[in-house]
Amino acid sequence: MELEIRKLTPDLAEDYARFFDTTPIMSRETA
Amino acid sequence: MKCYCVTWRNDDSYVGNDHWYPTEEERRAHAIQFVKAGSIQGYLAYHGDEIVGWCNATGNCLRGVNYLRAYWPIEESHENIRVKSIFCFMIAPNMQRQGIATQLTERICNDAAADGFEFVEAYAYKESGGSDHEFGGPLAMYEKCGFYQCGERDGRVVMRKALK
Repeated sequence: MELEIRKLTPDLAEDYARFFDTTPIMSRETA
Repeated sequence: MKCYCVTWRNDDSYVGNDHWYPTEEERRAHAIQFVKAGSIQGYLAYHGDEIVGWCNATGNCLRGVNYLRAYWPIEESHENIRVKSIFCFMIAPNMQRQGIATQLTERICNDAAADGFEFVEAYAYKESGGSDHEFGGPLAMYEKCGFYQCGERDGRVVMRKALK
């Protein structure tokens, strides 16, 4: 699969939050 | 429940039980602050304009590692040995098992080597099963990426890749 891997930088903070907003999953730290 | 991956970060606010926040709204707001401050570290995988994966990979994250040490047989930290820890993957459900975690891991290892880290380390489960076990990444993926098992306790496996 053709992916672009981007290192997380401050300008990606909103992208980061939106990914979690829209991805239905539960973290292991809550288990 | 959405975590926003706030547990795995490297900053001075990580004390006591403050690695976690009780509501999603708090976690989201803190996550944005932590990303902007550079204390949440990792990589996003984009497929076109869509984000399809995330991996939290943090360097010398002593508080996070100490937290996991209660569960995984992690070696004691040494001041002069730099370790990049892979704490968690999150892959969009419709994009899983298509090699996204592998590409993320390969990039993490390449960057960690370039940045002078001695090891990349991950905290996985011997047996897959249940969503909780998926977040650490599968053993087979790590082995394919050149990691070896350097400790196991109660089905929890520390995987390491030497970079030097």
